[in-house]
Amino acid sequence: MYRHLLKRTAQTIPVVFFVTVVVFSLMQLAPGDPMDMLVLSNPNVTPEEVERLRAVYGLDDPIYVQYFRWLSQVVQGNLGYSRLYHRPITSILPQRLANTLALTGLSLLVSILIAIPIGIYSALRQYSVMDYLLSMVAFVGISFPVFWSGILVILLFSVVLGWVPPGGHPSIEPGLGFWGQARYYVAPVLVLSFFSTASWMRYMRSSLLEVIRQDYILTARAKGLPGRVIWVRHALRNALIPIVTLIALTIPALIGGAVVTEIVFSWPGMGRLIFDSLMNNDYYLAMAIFLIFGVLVALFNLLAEVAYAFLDPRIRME
Amino acid sequence: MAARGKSPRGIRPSLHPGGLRCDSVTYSRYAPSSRLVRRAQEQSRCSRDFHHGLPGHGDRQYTAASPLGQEGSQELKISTLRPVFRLSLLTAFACVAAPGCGGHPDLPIPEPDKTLVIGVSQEPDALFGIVGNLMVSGDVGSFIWRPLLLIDSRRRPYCVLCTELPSLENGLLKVDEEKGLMEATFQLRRGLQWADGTEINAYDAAFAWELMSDEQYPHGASYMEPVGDVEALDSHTIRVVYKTLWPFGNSDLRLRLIPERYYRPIWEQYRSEGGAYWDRFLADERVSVYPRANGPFQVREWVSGSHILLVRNPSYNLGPPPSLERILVRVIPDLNALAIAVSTRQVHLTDGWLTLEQARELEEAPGIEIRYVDAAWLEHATLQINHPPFDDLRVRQALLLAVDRAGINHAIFRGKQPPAHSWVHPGHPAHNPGLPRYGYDPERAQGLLEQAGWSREGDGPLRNARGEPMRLTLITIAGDRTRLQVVSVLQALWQELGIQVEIRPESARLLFPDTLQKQNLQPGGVAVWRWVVQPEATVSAYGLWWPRGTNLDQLTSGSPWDAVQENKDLIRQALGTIDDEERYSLLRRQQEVWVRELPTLPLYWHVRVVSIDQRLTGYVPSPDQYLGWGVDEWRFGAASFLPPNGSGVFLAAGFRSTIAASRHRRTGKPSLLNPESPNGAD
Amino acid sequence: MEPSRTRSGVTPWQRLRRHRLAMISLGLLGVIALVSLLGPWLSPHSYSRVHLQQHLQPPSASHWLGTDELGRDVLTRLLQGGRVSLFVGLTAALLSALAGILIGAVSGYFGGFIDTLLMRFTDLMLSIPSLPLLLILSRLGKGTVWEIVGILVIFGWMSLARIVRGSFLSLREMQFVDSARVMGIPHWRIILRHILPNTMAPVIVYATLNLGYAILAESSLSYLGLGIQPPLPSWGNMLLNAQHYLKVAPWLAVFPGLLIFVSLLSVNFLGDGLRDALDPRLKI
Repeated sequence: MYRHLLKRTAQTIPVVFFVTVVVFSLMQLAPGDPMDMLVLSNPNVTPEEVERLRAVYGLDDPIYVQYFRWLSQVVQGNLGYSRLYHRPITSILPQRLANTLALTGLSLLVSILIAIPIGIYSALRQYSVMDYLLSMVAFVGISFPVFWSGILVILLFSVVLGWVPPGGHPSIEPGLGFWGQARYYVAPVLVLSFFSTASWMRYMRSSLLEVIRQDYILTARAKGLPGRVIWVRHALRNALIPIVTLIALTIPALIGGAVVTEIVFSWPGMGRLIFDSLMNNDYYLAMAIFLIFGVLVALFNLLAEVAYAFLDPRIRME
Repeated sequence: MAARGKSPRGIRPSLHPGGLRCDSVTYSRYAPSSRLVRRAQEQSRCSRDFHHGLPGHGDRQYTAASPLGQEGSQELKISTLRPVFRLSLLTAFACVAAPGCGGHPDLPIPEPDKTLVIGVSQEPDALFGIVGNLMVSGDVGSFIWRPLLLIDSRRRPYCVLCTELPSLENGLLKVDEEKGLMEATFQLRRGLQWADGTEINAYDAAFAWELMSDEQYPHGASYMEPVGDVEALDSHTIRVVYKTLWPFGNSDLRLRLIPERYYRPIWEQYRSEGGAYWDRFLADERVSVYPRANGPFQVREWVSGSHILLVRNPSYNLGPPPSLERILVRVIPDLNALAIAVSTRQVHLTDGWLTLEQARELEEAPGIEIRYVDAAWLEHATLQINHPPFDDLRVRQALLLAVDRAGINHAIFRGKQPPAHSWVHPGHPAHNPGLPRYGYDPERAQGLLEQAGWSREGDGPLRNARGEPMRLTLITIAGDRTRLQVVSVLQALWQELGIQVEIRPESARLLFPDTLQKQNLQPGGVAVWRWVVQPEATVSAYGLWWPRGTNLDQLTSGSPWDAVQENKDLIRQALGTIDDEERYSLLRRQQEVWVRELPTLPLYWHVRVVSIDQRLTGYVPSPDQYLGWGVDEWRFGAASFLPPNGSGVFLAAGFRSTIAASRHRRTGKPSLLNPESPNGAD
Repeated sequence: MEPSRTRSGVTPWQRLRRHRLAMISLGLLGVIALVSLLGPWLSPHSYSRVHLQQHLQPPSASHWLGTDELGRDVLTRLLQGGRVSLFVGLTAALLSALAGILIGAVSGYFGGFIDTLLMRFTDLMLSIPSLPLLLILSRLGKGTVWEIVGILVIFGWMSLARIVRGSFLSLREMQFVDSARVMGIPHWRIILRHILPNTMAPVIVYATLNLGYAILAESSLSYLGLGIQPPLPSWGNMLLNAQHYLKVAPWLAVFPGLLIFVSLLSVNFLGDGLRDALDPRLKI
């Protein structure tokens, strides 16, 4: 087991660096570089001056030279600074990461808590009116693009009802208590979880449907076990295994945030940071973000495997 | 202090500590705070409090009772009323996403404490006075920095840190016409302070120059051209040496001061480390995030992606301390969300972000005033005029004649963004009102095209003598809705002439540096974008009138326009003419040439939508100025003077007077102004 | 083993036909697709022709769904947008299904080093938040329909590849595969003719679901300014544009929103029906 984990950890390191290489090359391939914008504001600028500045920033070196320069800094523990925000990357990232995880993590939690009971109900009452109705409601959630449902939610909850602020992060009101802060989370969490509840519910439903057709359920039934025991001990437990794995697999994606939701709700999260860094050719920032992604993704994948092994005894046989 | 009002009022002496006479009510800030007294303060419209004599209490906040307190208590009742709740739900769906609907009359309005909330949809890049590319950096920076001089709403320069503007009469401006040299001397006011309490002196100006003329200066050392040197003659005398005659030598808005005592050690440290030292210097949080400056406010907290909290600068002594205690700049990237925040009165001031459609809906919202302010942003179409088919004047004229600019204004801009007839804004004294105009005349356009050798059979494509069809590619900024609308109209109208038109949206980052400057605007390419004309209004619009060997050189060199000697002569003369009137008359003549030759197609002038909460008074949006230059005059939380429901009437009147009073352009930061704002913030 | 016919002799198609909701969905989708395909030819209006004088007109006899802010006929644009959105959705779903099948099949059938390599790659793609990469890629292009399709495909194949691989892993141990191998049938033929048909159920279900996601993803890209670029309409960018006119012209938002909703709902119900109809384990 430990050896296996160790092996997997070792495997992820080259993967992480592969990702950074790809990202770096892609960014360099895209036309334009950070110099363009700064120099634009100077009507007196000459092409020679632009070239000189590019040389200062090392922008005219070959891609691999630039990459290894970046890499050597990173290995020394220096992520560099953001050319977009003009500050050290380490002063931006942790805060953004925390904001995003709070938002996406909470949404995942909410949607799972809602989706699992509904999914179970739908599976038990397959093809009933309620099943269709629940599916329909769930699909309403999927069908509305977030930029649309987000605005509707803001209108309803903050304009008409006045319950929650129309977007923003609780840090704009220092000294807020728990409930005060929670109000800021309501709308974005609602929208995000509404969006994903549908798919979780569908997963739960089909997973359970699949399990109850397995032979061991038939056996249990044949043994004359009471229905409740069959459902809870045999069906549900097994049906939850793939869901748990899926959740673990989803966690790394949480780090990426949700760009559109973050924009609609003015949430200072990773999604917007990535978007801005990519759109503005902030190489160092983008690279730092992807590096952190890589590391966290690897970490969570390992955790997922451990969790899976823990839940499903069959895995341990390997 | 920054007078933003109708006239530059020079500098007021610093104020005395203690109580203050104001509207014939004398009170001390720390008088017994009975509710009545506080209400009186609010109503006296003199909420400026002076606390110099009371150190340590500077940041204490007013806890004035809200004039809206009653509405606050109503809120409780409402939330307990079930039917009302249901009704509200219905309204939610009846007026989805309509910010105008947002002004729920019974909605609790957040208690107006002294925190003014300003909404922006883009985050500033840096707040260090001499670096920054975005308009928003200039807007936020204008609360933090006070430069040597500024311009008022009539576009006239006035001294902020200096005692008087140099002129030939007072001998502070010296011109050597023969050698083509000049120098200006500025005397600094004494006793002015940086945020750390140290005195502002002439060495700070020399230090700023040192930073800006450094070869690694991010905007390019040539940014300060034609300044040759800025030196400190003594602790309060600054001399600026120009290498050529420069009409704005006595009022160079680019001149800055940076506190040398604080920043030099930091600067020297990075410099000694070598490499890209300027960039790393700028990435130091003491520089770009929490700058030590001299404005009425300073940055208390900047949460990236969320907000910037500005608090009073206790050392500010350029004028009396502002009445506002704190300013919260909130970054709200989604414009619909921004409009909703405005309509619910959680954001009290926005300037230049909301769209005209949103403005229309907010006009009906109670408690919010919407103004439309002329901006010196010229929307125009850049063509490759040194290449067929645009090298033919008749083709360019035909293209412009075929555009129903008045119709666009009516349909898309609600009549607010009028067609442009010159590259100089009608509000500028150098504008030539007698210029010939290109109205909507498709038949004449067709005729001109025929003269130029382009004809069509029936509804077929327009072809030249060799049978080649005319193909255009309209290039504009991806994701910019308004521009895409305009471009769609251009496409439709030009297609009616038989021209094949394709639209190519491009990212803002690429349009200017890549497409326009590096020969990627293929023949037949038409780029539609915005030019921010500087307040000096003469020498910045290179691409529009002067092939200068820089930015847009590739579009014009070798073209017939390039060969127009009259234009070159007029420009050269204007650049060397220090007398304003004389220069303006040269520019008026130059505009005649420009309109005749049409090197680019002028489309329309932008307006900025400004939303002001009624509780905020004293903010006068002005075309040329940054948001915070007049913050000393602002009051927040006073009872409103506009009738809650009849604001529309006021608005209409207010709008006209705004337009009339301020037909000028707004600049980018005079230092860092620029063509297209890079991030599509425009 | 003949997967498409069950013991009771009922074909999947017959089972699907019994699934009423799925059939309604199929019908709806068919109608939407057909009308979108033919509509722009039948319409007297052009989707891009601007009539500034007639902007923002409410629905009327000549403009059944009104006009937009540039006086363009909303119905015609909606139909044209349907072409674009459905084309993007269908092509993206189809191509990502193909890619997923290919990678999953190769990985599952051959196993060993190839499997490890491909699956690590799949894991990687699956776990990296897709939007950032999507952004990078869309920056390289100019927002043409094919580029959007390409981008969606790059991020659409992973789950399918995993599913196909899973099926292959278990199926390749089956006796019928062994016997085929013994008979000397080439690998590609075994993959194509013997194993693949048995995995089609989840593939079809997933592909239908992907169709829905692709339509949505395109609208999100439009929101970020990276999707299909106007004046070419897609449901996503029409919906986005309509946000600005909700109060003055609500009809602009209602119809594209409704179409996205109906299509997605139909696709999902259809996927559901297909799943029930195709899943061989449903044979009880």
